[in-house]
Amino acid sequence: MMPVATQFPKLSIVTPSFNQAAYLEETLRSVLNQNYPNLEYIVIDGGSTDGSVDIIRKYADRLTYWVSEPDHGQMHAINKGFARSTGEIMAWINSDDKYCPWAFDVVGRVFSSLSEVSWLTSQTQLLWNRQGQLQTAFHSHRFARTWFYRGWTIPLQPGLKSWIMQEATFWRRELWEAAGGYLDETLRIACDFELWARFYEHADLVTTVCPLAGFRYHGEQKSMAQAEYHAEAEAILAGYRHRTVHNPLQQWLLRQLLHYTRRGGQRFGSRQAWVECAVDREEWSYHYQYCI
Amino acid sequence: MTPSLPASRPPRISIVTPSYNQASFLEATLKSVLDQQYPNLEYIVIDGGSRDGSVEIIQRYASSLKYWVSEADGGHMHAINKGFAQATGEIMAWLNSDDVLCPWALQTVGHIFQDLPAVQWLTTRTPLRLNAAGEVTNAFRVPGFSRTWFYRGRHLGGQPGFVGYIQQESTFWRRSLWLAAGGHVDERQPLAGDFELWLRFFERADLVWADVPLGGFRQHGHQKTSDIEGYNADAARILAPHRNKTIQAPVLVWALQCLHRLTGRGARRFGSRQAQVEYNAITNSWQHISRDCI
Repeated sequence: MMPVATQFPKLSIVTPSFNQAAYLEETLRSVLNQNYPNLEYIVIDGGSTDGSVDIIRKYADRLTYWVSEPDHGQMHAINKGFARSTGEIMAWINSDDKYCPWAFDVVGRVFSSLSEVSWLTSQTQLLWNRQGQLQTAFHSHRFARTWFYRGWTIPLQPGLKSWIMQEATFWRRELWEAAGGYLDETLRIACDFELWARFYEHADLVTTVCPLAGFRYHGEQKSMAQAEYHAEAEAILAGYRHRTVHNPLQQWLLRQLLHYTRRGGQRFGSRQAWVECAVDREEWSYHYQYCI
Repeated sequence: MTPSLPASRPPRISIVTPSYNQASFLEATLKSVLDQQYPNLEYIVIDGGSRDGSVEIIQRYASSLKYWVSEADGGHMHAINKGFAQATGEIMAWLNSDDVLCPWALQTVGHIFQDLPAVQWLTTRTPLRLNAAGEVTNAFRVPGFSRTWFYRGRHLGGQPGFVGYIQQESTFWRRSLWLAAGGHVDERQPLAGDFELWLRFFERADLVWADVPLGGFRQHGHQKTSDIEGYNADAARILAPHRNKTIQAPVLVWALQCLHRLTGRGARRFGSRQAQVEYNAITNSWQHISRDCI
């Protein structure tokens, strides 16, 4: 049995907030009600005028830091928040999304027991409705770097497998710093995608089937502008595309090679990595397989 | 902010928890139900005379319970029957004292049963599993449920063609179905009492499923169903006399599946209905989607 302290590495969560008072309280509560013993929660409001600040003030004694002042938008707010953070594990959650109540326990346990995991996301993707009720759950594929380079994680892209859900993604500070330690404020909506591209330079994305968080579909959000997201993501990817094989015939041949000889995965493909917990035990374990 | 519900009063949901010496997990179970603050909940706890502190835990929550008692009883299924005898809700389910409901379960279930009067019983196709520490360690994906699949053992572990169990923690039903099916769980089934109930339910109504996870099964090594082989064997015995209610021969099944795929025919006579519900964000209501299968 591991000492308790290591089971709960310090977790830094940032919420950028701007005039989403209708949803903000549920977001705050989804973070604070987990009662995670080593949490650092930072809320950066961009000078809301709709009552958001009163909501934040209600929870102020449980926040590590909060501020309400005009900023240069969501990415800037997130960067400001992370600049204040000290946790070993990091993530941000937008002011309309929500975590599952068990999320931090699972994340803490996985990161503390498996050094192979640098960033983690969920394969069970939840969608809340406007009222905050859970409306559906998708199951996504595991993720792979080469698939990412081919654009298979961009919504609307032909060949789409699944996208990486920002609200369910957590990473280590080492990875954040190695990747530059910032979000690109010049992008309008696909900044998460740009961050994933930099993360993939350093480590494979690991998945769990445990649901961790959900996206609230209320029809007003930026990322629902899928066409624009698609265009931005395509532009980001342009600098990375040469890193994998695109020709479908070549892909097929390499897939056969990998399948029959177990070779070629490391050179031409990438790792699909995941963690799972054995039945009846509390130990998580790390697994991977190659794919083209 | 509490999530808003449809204008009319949500249906009353009765949950029964049978409890016996599982103090280390009981509180998480009680909280998973009560913390949802569902406005029309009737929660009943039937303890079998625990001596491990369970009763003290129940007493702490007594003011939120419709009824509770701690006295020696005739076992797990007997406790469930005792509990349902006290229940008045339109929607019913039981939750064992080591399992949990998801925080959104009652809202979702209430909403579905209210929107869709035709739904008689409901389960999830994304059953969750927890470890002893309460971490969600697995989310399964069942392709679907159907009566003929049930009769062929496809919802029973260890059988050929197994696709996934009907997770008891995540299954809710209407009182009308419960009463039509006899209004009891079989106390002679120490392990597979739920499976025997599903059998009686399937005789009267199709099982409807939603994608949304609703409950979690805690795997901790001290429970009855960790005797999974015993459960499977008991359930197989329960199922045996009912297998002739559908076609079993694999070749015939395959031929009928081809017929159905190519012509769209045969499912009503030889197969059954797969019934699913899906949320429509525009109308804020749940809708039926059904298809036939062999």
